[in-house]
Amino acid sequence: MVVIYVLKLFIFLLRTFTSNSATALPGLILERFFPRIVKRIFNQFNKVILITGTNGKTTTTHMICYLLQQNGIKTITNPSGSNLIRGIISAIVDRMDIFGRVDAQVGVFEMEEGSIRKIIKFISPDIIVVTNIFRDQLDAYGEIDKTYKYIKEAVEGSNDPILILNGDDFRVADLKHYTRNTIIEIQVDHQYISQIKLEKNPFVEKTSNNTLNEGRLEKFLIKNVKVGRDLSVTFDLCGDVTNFLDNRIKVPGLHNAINAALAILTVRETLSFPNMNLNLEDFNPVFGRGEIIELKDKKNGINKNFQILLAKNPAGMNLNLHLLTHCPLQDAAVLILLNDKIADGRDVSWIWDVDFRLLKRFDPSDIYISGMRRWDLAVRLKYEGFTVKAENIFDNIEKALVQIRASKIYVLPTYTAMLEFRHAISKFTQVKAMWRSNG
Amino acid sequence: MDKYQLKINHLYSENLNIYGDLGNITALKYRSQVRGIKVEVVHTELNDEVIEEADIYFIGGGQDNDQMQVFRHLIRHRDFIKKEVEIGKVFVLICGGYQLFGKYFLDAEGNLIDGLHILDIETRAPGPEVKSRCIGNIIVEMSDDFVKYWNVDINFSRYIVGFENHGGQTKLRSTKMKPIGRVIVGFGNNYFDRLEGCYYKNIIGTYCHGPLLPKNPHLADAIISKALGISKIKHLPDDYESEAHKYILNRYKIKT
Repeated sequence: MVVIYVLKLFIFLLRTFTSNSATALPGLILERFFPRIVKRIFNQFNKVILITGTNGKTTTTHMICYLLQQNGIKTITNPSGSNLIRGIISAIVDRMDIFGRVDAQVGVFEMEEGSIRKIIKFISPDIIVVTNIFRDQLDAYGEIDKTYKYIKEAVEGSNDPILILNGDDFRVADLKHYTRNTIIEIQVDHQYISQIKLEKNPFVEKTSNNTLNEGRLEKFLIKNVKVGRDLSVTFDLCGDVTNFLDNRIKVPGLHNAINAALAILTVRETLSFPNMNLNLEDFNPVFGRGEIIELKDKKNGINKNFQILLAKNPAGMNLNLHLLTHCPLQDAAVLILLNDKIADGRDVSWIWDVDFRLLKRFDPSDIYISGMRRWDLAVRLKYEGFTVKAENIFDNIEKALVQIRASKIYVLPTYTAMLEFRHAISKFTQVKAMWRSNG
Repeated sequence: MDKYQLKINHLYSENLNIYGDLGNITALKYRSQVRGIKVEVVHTELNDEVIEEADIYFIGGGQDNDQMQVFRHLIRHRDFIKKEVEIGKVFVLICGGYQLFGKYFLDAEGNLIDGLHILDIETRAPGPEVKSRCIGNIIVEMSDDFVKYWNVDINFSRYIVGFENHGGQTKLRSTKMKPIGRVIVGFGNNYFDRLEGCYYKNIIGTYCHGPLLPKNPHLADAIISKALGISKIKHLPDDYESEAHKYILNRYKIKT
């Protein structure tokens, strides 16, 4: 445990004397040099839930934490973006008392798709939740099939975990062959399926050693999805035996209805008592995933409401553009921010697979673009038939957020563009630097 | 240019599509239509019996698994493709499509996959000497021969910019196979030659996606002109295209 003291002191010193929030380093040291301590750290939780997939990890993770907390369960999670093993370990060490204990019963961790297979040497998760496998950062992984393979290795290597799966994604659904435990599969009613733009690949290599599942397989369907003008969503979640009707969420869009369904059913599998609270109505959108930031400056007469809809890959962008077919147009504007740093994916080819025709209900003068690759975006929109005026193209994000003339602004940024946007707007108003669970 | 018509066949768009290659079709279509050229885009997919005749054939890149499926279909139509190449139809082949037109592809397990034998090139999976995929931005300086043969407007730029993401290492096997140009940034055909792409008759094969044509309008126009058999094409004010092209050049401090 001496190691823990030293690391905690180290975190304290880093926090005190640098601007570094010290998320990764202590975890990295433990992961590399003290694997047995890492195992002990994880072993203190009654249950460990891992959430992975291309899109929706952060929201699903925090919905699960929120619901568990509503039911009186103490949880621990990792901050959004620190989803490698080292980030998770650091988050735990940070919450430890001087005896190395964490006051939490359930560990709920968001895991990056490529790293989840590596964490199973430290911990066998009780539940694995998989949201989807979309093309994302192919410059890092090369191919989507590889992402699938990594997650499959994690499931196979774990000790028959419960799986909560998005059954519409054929790669995700295929994972059910690799556990003998309970499987919960969620699908959306067929009328919504075209909105999700699932990856098509009818020729995925079928693995021959599919184990016969001996556990329970329960299927749920998301029905009656209604998006309000404020972009909030209601939906029914219907199973063979059980129904969860009239769920309301403030987090916008069909994709978040799927995340909410995954969270609700994960919590139902985690807890064993009757009459649990599975209401997400008061759950607030987290870190750029539908989050609203108000900008009010009485002196200069500024009163703007920004809603950030993180769009880091074609699937995310398409879903968010679909969402914007519901919003009021009066005094509204769209700001798209495209960066190509490593965390965004250095390849911006994907914008050509996005259906930007969905923006056509907006007047071209209400569409603004910025970010490092704004010109690629400008060409993309031009070739779709609506040319963004040169004065609507900003070389820096701060200028954009000051100059846009609208009171409701939907911001669609890639990951680092989202961070830049927050940084820019934090000069005018207070914004959370990084979403953290205080649970 | 109202009297002109252009038919584009986008082959295997359902399988070879993960790198935004659709943008190339969008670019050809937009740049033709703006000039009053009538454009028709048709598709040939795996379950189609015949490959529909067209002026421009386009094949993009995909995952290894999909490429194998495509290849089984393509090889059945080898005679047709060969005939179309011989009579001077335009083929734009990116990444996987480029590799399939060669002599063979040697995969990571050592299997030799026979190619269409239309381009005299060979491709091998990365071996002991090359461990990782070639991934990143790529800048190619077009050769004088390429510029002349394809009648590329170098007033726009002497360069082609793109993004490459491939494991396969391609070698040009004869002097008839000419590279598009010299690699200034990135890898190109392989780790060692500093050459990118290949052109032969009216085939262009390249590893540049990103996608290729929206950011390289001079090349898009060269392809349209070649397919229509014209030597001069109406100039377009490529303001945004030029900025997108220059962004990559500026990033690597290459003078335009």
